[in-house]
Amino acid sequence: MTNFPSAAQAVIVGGGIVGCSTAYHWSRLGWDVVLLERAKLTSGTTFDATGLVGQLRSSANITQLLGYSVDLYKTLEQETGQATGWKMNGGLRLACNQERWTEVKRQATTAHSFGLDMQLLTPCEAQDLWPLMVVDDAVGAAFLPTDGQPNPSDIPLSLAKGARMAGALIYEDTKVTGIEVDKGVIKGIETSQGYISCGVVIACCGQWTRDFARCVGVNVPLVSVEHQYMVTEPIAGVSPDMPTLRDPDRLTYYKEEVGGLVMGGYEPNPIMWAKKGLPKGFHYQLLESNFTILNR
Amino acid sequence: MEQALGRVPALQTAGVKMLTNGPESLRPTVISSWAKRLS
Repeated sequence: MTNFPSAAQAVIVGGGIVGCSTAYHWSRLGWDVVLLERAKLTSGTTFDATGLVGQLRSSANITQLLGYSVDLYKTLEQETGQATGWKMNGGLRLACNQERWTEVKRQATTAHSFGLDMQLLTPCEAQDLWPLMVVDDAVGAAFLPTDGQPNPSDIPLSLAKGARMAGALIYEDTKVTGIEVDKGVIKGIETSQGYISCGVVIACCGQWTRDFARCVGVNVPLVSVEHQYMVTEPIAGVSPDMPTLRDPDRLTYYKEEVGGLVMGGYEPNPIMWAKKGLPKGFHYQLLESNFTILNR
Repeated sequence: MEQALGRVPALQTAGVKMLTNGPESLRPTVISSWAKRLS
């Protein structure tokens, strides 16, 4: 390939949302960045993400990081001209026992300390925002008005466009075939398109990271699991401005999509997948539906 | 699934447009207890 770079300050491996975001941010910091994706951007697992953006976490640092993401998503489409599908419809998180409610109240204190708008609601107030749900068992709910939902494939494509605008080079259909290491120091990366001399390689390979890191002797204890969700036909009473809904005590989440609902679960005992290695050519592919996952 | 139907009864009669089962990788903190099984 002509014009394929022979050198870069940093090479990012993987073109999902993490790789695209890394390229966006590093290039805007002035780094000379190349992103390599062995198939197409988002084709690994990003394309089938459910796409709920919630900022509330037990870690204050992660909550602040997610707050930054929301701020970015507000302006990314305008900045790049590439649609993101971002909708700031807010997020509800139910608490159905006193322990969860105590946790939520602590999180509210933390959230307020760094300026995140988080409201504590009664079950009836939560139901006003999400009329389809039964709240008989709820103690209360947290509501974050700035949570939302994007189109999971559009956000990374918009980030990639922003990265290119800042000078990043992005190559699809380019497979990494080796990494040159000398005395523990990265010297370069071998690809199906040629060799790139670089001092930094950033592994953003998602579920492929464990295999990728192993080639330089690094153990990343990452495992793939099956994640099942369903999308319904339109349901009377579902409106586009309904918040996303997380129900941790029932291990389920919901979001509006085209007048229907997306419903998935936080599997407490998930089914591990591809334990003996990820299949070659697994791009834009899904697994056979298995709703028993939600009943394990 | 029963937990979901209890929370959102409208799901009982909703048509299913799509079922999606896609792999996702979990963070080391989540799967640390599984590490021995994989190594």
